[in-house]
Amino acid sequence: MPVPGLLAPFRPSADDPWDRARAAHLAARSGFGATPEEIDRLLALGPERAVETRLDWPGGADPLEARARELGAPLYEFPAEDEGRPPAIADARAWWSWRMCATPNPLEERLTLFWHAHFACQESDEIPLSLLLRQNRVLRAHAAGPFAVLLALVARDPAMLTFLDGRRNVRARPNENWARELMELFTLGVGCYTQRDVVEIARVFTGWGVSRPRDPEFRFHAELHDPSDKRVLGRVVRGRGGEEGVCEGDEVLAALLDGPAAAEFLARKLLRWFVEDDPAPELVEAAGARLAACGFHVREFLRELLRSQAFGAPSRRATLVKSPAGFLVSAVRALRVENPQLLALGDRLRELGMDLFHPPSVAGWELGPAWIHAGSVLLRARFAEQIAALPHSTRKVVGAPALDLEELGQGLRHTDALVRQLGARLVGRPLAEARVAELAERLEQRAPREGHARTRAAIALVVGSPEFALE
Amino acid sequence: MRSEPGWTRRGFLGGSAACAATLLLSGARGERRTDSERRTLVVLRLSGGNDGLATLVPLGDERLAALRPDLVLPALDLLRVDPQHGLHPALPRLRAAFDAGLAACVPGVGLPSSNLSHFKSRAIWDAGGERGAASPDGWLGRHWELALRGDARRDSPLALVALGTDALPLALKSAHGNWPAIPRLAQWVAPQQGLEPGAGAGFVPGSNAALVLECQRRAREASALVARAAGRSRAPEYPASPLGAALRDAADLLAAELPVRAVWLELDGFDTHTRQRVQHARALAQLDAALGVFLEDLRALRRLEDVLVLVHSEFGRRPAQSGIGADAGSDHGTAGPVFLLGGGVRAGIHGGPADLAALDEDGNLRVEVDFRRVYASVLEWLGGAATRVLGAGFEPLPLLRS
Repeated sequence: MPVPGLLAPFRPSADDPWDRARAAHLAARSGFGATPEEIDRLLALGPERAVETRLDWPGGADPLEARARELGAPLYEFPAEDEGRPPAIADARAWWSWRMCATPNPLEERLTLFWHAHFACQESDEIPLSLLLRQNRVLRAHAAGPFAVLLALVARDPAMLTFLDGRRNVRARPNENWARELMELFTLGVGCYTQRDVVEIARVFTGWGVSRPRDPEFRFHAELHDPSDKRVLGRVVRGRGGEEGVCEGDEVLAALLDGPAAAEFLARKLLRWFVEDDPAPELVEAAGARLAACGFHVREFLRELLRSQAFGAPSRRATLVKSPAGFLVSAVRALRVENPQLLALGDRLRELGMDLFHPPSVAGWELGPAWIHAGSVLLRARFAEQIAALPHSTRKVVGAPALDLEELGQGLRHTDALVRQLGARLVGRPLAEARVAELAERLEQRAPREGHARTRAAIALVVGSPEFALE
Repeated sequence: MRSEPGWTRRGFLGGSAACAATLLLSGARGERRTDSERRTLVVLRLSGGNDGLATLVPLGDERLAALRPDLVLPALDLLRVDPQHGLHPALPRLRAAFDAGLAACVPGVGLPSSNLSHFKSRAIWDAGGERGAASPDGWLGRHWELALRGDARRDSPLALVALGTDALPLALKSAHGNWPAIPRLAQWVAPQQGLEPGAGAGFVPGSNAALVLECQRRAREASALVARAAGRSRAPEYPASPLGAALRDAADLLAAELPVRAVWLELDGFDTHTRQRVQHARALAQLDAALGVFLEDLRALRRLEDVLVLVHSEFGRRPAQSGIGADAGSDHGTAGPVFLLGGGVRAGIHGGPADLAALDEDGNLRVEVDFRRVYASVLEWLGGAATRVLGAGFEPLPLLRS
């Protein structure tokens, strides 16, 4: 199959080698930040195996579940009902943010977060957390698989059926909520359908509901389904009565993915999550064609994307704004804080605008530069100061250490050497020398000349820097 | 504004809103201060698409009960504001504001062409034009560029600010100037370190790195101003709701006499596809409680005359209900009422009741007033250049006293 030039694979050459910078870029964009250890590992693997190792995570046994049991703290484990008490959203936020920090498979988390933002549902009176946790397992299990499978499962997901009123969409009284967002936000984008399509698709999905109000499972209620013919996006969907009525919905889901609109819509969204804020139409078109060519198989598409010359091009490096999750988790990982409970990470994430299991609307979060404004940068800087103020504990002591200030600032008498080392360690790429000088000057004006207080001030400065805000 | 015959004010004042109503009625006009340089706009979006037909209800139209048998509100419960309109019973303080001459309403406001998408509709409202999300700036951002930028007496790093939210709305985006969205004022305190980015040697102009740096500079300046607003000693009790907290923050900024020209706020919970009766009443009650205290607070601060509150929603809802019984709700619609509150308004309802006899092909209300005509009126009051912000052809309405 010919590969369009825009996504041609990266071929190392003398001018454009597989080097530390390229490996660091892959680490950062396929996870949360790039620690020196991670960069070393990917660099040693070479460009193709490096991508493969990021894409390959076990589907079954989860090493993190074992690690959570080892740590024993309830917040690390999958939030479950505790003596009849339903799981709390705070526990769920803590659980997922810990996973992001501790996982050996960061792309699994980043992609699951992508789908959480794509198929955004909110916890509420009507949608208990248990339903969202179940949805999270579905998103996670199918994050890198064929999109058609994920879409079919989400269409049957009790949290989604409740959030977009699918369970109340019945023959006598069709409800347009799911039908509209299915096209506008999940598959095609605004402008690719008419209000007439919304009305017709609502009728197609009448009867898609749940088994019982508490602890619901998907169920198709044939008696509530409208069995007449519908006309959707210019084609006729033959109406069917009885249990066969459910096939109409699956037929429409397949039809939505048939044609370039959905492929380009999803490709553009994936490009914005992994490559750049505003991908050029030609790139979107090329990526959409590749996504369609691999049958909307997300892992195959990402393999091609992450291996492409375009993905790692120097002009794209350190240009994306980290999401709040990217920002917090990369700081925790770079500083090797193994006990993120010290930071109440889930709550911090919420303060910075990424309330897990409670996105602002069905459209998820606005991405990219929208994360940055004069309000958010101050809150991010406050976090930088909080993480720099964690207790000092040397890594040699067994247990869950906080900040090893000796390791981070050891033996560095000169302020610029300290800034240079912390910059490379935390940001994942060397700071420009002019910037090292600027930050060192600030540090000398404001912080003690030596000791742990100086190291802490330097950490706050680097985590708060524009360089750290980008990936 | 007349009371409905047989409906006594005493009965109303005995209700939950007695305190706010008394204060509003007693002294609303006590202070006249029309220093136009102090004028501040508070924009509040009812997010999700507010059901206008259950907010400002057309009286005596039998078609309403036919279209939405399970949503129609009992006529006796409605708070009548003129012979043709009654407010939802969850809005007693808003009703009191009409009585006190502090509230105006334009029914039937909407977008020039409907699209029924939350996100596209919001973007068009925010941009102040049909470019919507493709617009690089918002209507308030352009107003700032054209009328406020660099004006020593009116401009500041807090000239535009979003409160109670962590996302900056398109409405406040401007080519120059980066505005803060501040979830809670009390927690928005600059750290000792971490907001000291340096000069940014080598940063490419227009890059995200330059954006972060510039926002950090603005944040330092704005937080120095906000620090002056901390710890107001005397303030009325605001409801413990997100909107109550955000309006309290807005009032604190105004109380500190900070140069704030436009505040952006949002109240969620209006996307009532189902269970509308309960959900809508709950959302409106939160709105009414918080706005009532805010108006009372403005009066105490002697800012009623120069602060204007604009309440809108991205669209109204479908006249015909969807679902049935207690589950009944309504799908996305078109036109809806816009409210203006403050001492500067020409009080009353500026338009006729929704015409349920002339629905469009989707069964939605026809738009009577382009939303930009309301914006034009507000911009004129703010001393802005409406045609330059919105383009020509949007005649201001006589909603405000100059």
